[in-house]
Amino acid sequence: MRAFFAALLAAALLGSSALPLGAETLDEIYAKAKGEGALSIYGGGPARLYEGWVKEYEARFPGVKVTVTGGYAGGLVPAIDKQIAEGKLAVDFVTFQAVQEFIRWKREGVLLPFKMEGFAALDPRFRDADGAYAPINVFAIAPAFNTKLVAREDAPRSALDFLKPMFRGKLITAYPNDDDATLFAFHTIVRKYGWRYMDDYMATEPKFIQGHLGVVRSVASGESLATFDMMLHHTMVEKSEGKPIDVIFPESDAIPIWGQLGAIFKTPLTPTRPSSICNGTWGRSSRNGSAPGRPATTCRRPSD
Amino acid sequence: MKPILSYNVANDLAEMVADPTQLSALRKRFQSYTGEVKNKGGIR
Repeated sequence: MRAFFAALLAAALLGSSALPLGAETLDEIYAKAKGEGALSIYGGGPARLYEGWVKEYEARFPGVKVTVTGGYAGGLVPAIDKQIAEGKLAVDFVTFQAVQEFIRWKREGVLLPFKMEGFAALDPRFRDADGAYAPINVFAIAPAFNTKLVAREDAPRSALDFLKPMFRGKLITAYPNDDDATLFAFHTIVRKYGWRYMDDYMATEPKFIQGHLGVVRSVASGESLATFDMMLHHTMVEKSEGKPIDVIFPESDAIPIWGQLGAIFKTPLTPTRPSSICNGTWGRSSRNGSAPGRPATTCRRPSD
Repeated sequence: MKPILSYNVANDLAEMVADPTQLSALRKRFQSYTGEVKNKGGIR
């Protein structure tokens, strides 16, 4: 049943309508799903990041309760692996930045291949060709600076600019050894400038904090002047709220980007429910798939 | 702001994390600079 809820979530995220989807409409799937459980989302970062999803989902599909467990991938992954090992999967849908876990879970066969409407339009650089996982968002890390304390002409436009004396003791990032997005940002810089850059950067006496929320708060408050490790959307949100912070796009350095992936876990399949999933959700990409009531194993998978 | 892919981007996070041994070594090398996590930002 969980796959029903997860499929409905995908439909909600993508704004799919209740038009006929193969043999069953979205409304018919919803009618089967509601009142029989809840949708459990595990998401990277604070649970509040997903409040919009939850409100939208519960408004569209009353009767299906959504719970969100936020946290770092480093904590969520062992919990999910434990559930898988024990055969007691409590999570339906997972999304975080740890790409390698999605690759591994796909290899282990625990993800439900799913190509939602519009899947083909997603940039192939971010999605799995078999539909085991797909990007929920594309994130970028770009430098940001405090606009009250740093003149725009002094804002750092390259990694080397952060080494200027004016930023000594006033730089902040998350820990590269703790956050893989930050690691990616540091790695991108070191690939260009070499490990010597790290010696020079550490000489500026930078601060480190766990998580990007602390980074954006530090720069927006003026505690720190700038960072090359700001989630672009954090900067734009803070800026839109009137905080003295802005993005400064590098002149030549590469901007690290990645797709934050999402995936649906397989649950024990029964002869009727999975076929409804096939008809109801995969149907748009495989309209000639299984007939209602046929075992899931006969469903035409997205990659067929 | 221009579309993100119109900028010079690094889009090879998957390659960086694909090899667990290499990833672990990379984290450790950066940790040799930063030290272990001490400043907990907190999450809820």
